[in-house]
Amino acid sequence: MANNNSTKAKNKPPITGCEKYEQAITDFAAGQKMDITKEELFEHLKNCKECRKDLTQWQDTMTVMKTEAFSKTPEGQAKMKGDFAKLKAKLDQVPAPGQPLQDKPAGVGNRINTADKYGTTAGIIWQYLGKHGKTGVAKIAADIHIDIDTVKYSVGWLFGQEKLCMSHETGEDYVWLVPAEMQKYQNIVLNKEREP
Amino acid sequence: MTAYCPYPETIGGRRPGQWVATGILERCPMPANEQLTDEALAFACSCNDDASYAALYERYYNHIGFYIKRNSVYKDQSFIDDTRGIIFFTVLSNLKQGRFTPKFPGSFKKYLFETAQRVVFDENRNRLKFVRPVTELFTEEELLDPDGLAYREVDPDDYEEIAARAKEVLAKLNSQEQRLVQLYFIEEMPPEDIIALKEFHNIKTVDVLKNKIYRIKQKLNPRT
Repeated sequence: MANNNSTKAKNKPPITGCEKYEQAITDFAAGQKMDITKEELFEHLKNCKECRKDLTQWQDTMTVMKTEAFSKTPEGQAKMKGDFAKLKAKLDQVPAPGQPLQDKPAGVGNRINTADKYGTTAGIIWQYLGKHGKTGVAKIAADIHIDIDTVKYSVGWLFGQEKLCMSHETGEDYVWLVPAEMQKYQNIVLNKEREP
Repeated sequence: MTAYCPYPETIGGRRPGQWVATGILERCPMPANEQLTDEALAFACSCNDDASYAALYERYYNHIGFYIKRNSVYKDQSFIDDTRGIIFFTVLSNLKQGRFTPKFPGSFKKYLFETAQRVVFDENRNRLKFVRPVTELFTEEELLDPDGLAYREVDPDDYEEIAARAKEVLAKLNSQEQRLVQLYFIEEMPPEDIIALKEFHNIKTVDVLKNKIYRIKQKLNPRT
């Protein structure tokens, strides 16, 4: 009999240090009370990479299970909708491309690509300069509510097309329309005024 | 310009890939959002389509929450909610402004999680700087993570893989075991309280319950 018992003991896999902590790891990951102290568990985890990995995996599984369960409850749905409503309110403040002025109605039909973005801005700057004459680049950006980088790109493009004159005075870049462009602008304004 | 066309078929009689190329400025009739790929929804967002923002948000709400919790020093709900808000705002406002062009299938997901990684790192750094005193920067659990939390590699598919594995294992459990998972693991109810519910005719003592839970853990163990 004693012989039989010793054979059984021999066949049994040896108990390693980690098996002792298996239960504690799952309890800790599940947020339950452990049979050992937290300090004891962490002392072991500091030296055992496998158990650390085990804990991470358990924590991940628990988090996903809890998240999935919560998201299906009415509270979970309400929370998500509430969070989205807050985000949407902020998102509505973001101007879409081609919607440089704050008072332009938001919404449909204003998606443009990058080239169009600078093109559209260039058009706005062209009209602005026709109306106001020589102006600083920073002031243009502030007045038309478009970021300074986009304004600079667009000014660069207009300059490359020989539509602008440029000067650097008192630390700032000033731009104005060349006479031919100014004439074009005035013609457009005159034509508009003549329209019934 | 050759852009990746997110739609395999024409929609509303037009190929959206052509819209990207030509910049046609109009809204298009869309199929149901559940059927659309991320890239198609991202494209619709750039047309300022409200339903598409909501669809992308709902699709990745849990994923991003999990990502933050997993990769952040801070795991409290308010931090997770704030950071998730910043991530989605960054991504969706960029979509709205046409700053993201899908280039290949899965490129939106990659973009979303790369943004998440950057924001989580920044938010952790900000909070470390301004909220917590330096002497108590990390809790013990955080120190145990050798991978350096926010420095971990981005793997957008983790959430889905873990969720699928958990679902698969849960499906193999009987109804009583599933209920125990709900009470013990998800609702974090102590064993004594579960017994007090008197819901299970064959579980009357804490020891029996612990034994049952031990067996469930064996089945749930991610290693097995």
